[in-house]
Amino acid sequence: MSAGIISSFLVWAALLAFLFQLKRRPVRVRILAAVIIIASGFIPLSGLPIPLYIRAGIGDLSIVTQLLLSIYLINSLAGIYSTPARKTAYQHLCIFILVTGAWFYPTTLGLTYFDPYRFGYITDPMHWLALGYFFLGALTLLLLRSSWTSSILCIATVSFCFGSLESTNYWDYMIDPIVTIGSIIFLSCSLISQLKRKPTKPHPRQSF
Amino acid sequence: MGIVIAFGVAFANSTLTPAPSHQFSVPHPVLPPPPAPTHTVTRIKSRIINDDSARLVHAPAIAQLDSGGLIATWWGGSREGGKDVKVFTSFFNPDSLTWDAPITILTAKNTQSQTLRYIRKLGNAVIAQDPQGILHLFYVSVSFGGWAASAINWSTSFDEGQTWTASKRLITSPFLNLSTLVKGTPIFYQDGSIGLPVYHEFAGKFGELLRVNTSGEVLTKTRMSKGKHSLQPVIHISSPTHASALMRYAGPADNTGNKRVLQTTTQDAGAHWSEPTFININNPNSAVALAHHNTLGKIGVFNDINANRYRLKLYQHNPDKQWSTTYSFEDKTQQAQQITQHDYEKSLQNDVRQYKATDAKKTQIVSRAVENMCENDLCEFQYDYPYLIQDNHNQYHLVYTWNKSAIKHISFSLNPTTKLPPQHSEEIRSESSTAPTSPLTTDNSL
Repeated sequence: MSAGIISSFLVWAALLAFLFQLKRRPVRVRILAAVIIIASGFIPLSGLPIPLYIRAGIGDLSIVTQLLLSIYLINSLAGIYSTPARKTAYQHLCIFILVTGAWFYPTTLGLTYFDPYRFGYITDPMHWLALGYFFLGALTLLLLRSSWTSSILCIATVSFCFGSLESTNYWDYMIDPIVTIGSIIFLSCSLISQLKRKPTKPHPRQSF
Repeated sequence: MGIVIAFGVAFANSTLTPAPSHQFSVPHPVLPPPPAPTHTVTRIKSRIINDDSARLVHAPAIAQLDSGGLIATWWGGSREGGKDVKVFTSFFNPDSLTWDAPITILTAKNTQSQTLRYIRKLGNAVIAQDPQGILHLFYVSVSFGGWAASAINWSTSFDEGQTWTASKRLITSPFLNLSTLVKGTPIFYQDGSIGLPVYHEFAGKFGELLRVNTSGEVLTKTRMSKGKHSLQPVIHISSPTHASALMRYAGPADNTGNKRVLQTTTQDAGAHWSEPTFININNPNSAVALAHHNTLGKIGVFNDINANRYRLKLYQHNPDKQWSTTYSFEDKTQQAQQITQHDYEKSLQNDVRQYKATDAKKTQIVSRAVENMCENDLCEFQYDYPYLIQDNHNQYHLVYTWNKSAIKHISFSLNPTTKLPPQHSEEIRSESSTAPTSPLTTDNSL
């Protein structure tokens, strides 16, 4: 099973976890929900499991998105809340993704002759530019004390070397429209909550 | 430290990966063409490839097989974008000089099970045999939405189209892999990789050249145009490094009220393409076809009008870099405007009269054309989506959609003018289902 197929199962599971607000449920409910989520991912609808419909619509998600979804799922099922430091790290990553998406998508969708997507192919002479871009991104996140999210970019880069997705393009491992939209939502929510200036209480099960 | 290791591994990996060849595989001798005399189309034979299993048929492609025959592919179904659309193939039997009964090779259902994602409809397919004899089929599928949400799938055949491998999805776009379509004939590079002319029609309409290896992995791609007005590139290779491409034009008319075919060129085997310019052939936002000619350099087939697709003509590229018309395959200029159903039927009946077929078959073709092309007693002629190849005997094979109702195959030669007038004969697909067995010879020309 390629990482691409896993990504559609992750999306389905994360969607259910979000809809049922699993993080707030008691442990027994979460265990039951985990079983239901796993089972529902394999129940065929007109001969095809639901996640494969999701896959048809959004394609294979990047490794970065898959890692973020995995973290969200683990947190939801274990009832773990992120620390403020970790939230800041995610905000840094989201800003990086948003900045990247802002110039990357218009150019790759035919606005210019310049096509940075091409640099994502390992055989392209300018491939080092794509690698260098994300290296600088990871380095910046590290300097901002966001080693957690910096390592997400590193893991995605290593998985590109192993070819874990169907795609042979480095960009497809690092960014996708779903994580870009997710970044907009996450940053907007963070901004709204900051504007409300509510003091945050440390959660008793706070971990990572 | 982790960052350095991770990115160091990726950088080393890219350094150790060999770059693909920067030279085209030229399927014809690269010689400076002699001054071109006047050329005439000769030995014209017309055939209908499809049977009556699909109400609407479209987007044919054709390839010559090493064994000597031809294979054609197209899609057909109850309507464009219908769930029942299938991709068909048919073999041209070089012994009987007829097309065999079409075979369904792909459906939305089997593409779905092979690519492991929901597939709603199928679309354009192109086919080519590589120098190793492997047939490559690239075809479009859509899961949700219209053609702008298309993706390309790839399947191969090691036995000249008798059986096909499971389809594989090509990842060609960073935006949810949406909107990459095929229409142009695939080309080959000297390292065996495939150059696949593709186009996007999501946010913009522009052409690209995909480089795909024989495992169906995209190696790289090059943008051939940008913006919203160019699509469906077709490529003509003139040397290992030089090629030109023509594109369908989807933009507004120029100051003189004309819409024209776009051209772009490369001098480094497709690594970079020049900015597209217009050539002296009109284009009503319809597909074009291009093939090599040993003395003329290249020839093409076009709907050379500004609107509609009632005319389909062969053009030759002259030494003065201009295109001139050589032959008219279809021309309904006199009847193109708002023709009534009665006159339409009469015109088509007149066309099919010369076909070698039963009356029932002729009636069926005409009635299907009426069904597809008439509305409120007004009808339209449509001859489009040409696909042109040159075979090993310098004969040409043109396939195109005939009034959305038939896949028409015309074989012809284009030789220096002699006193012989062109002979024209047309025949309906034979019901024979025998597979091609013997190679073509010059005595057994199509």
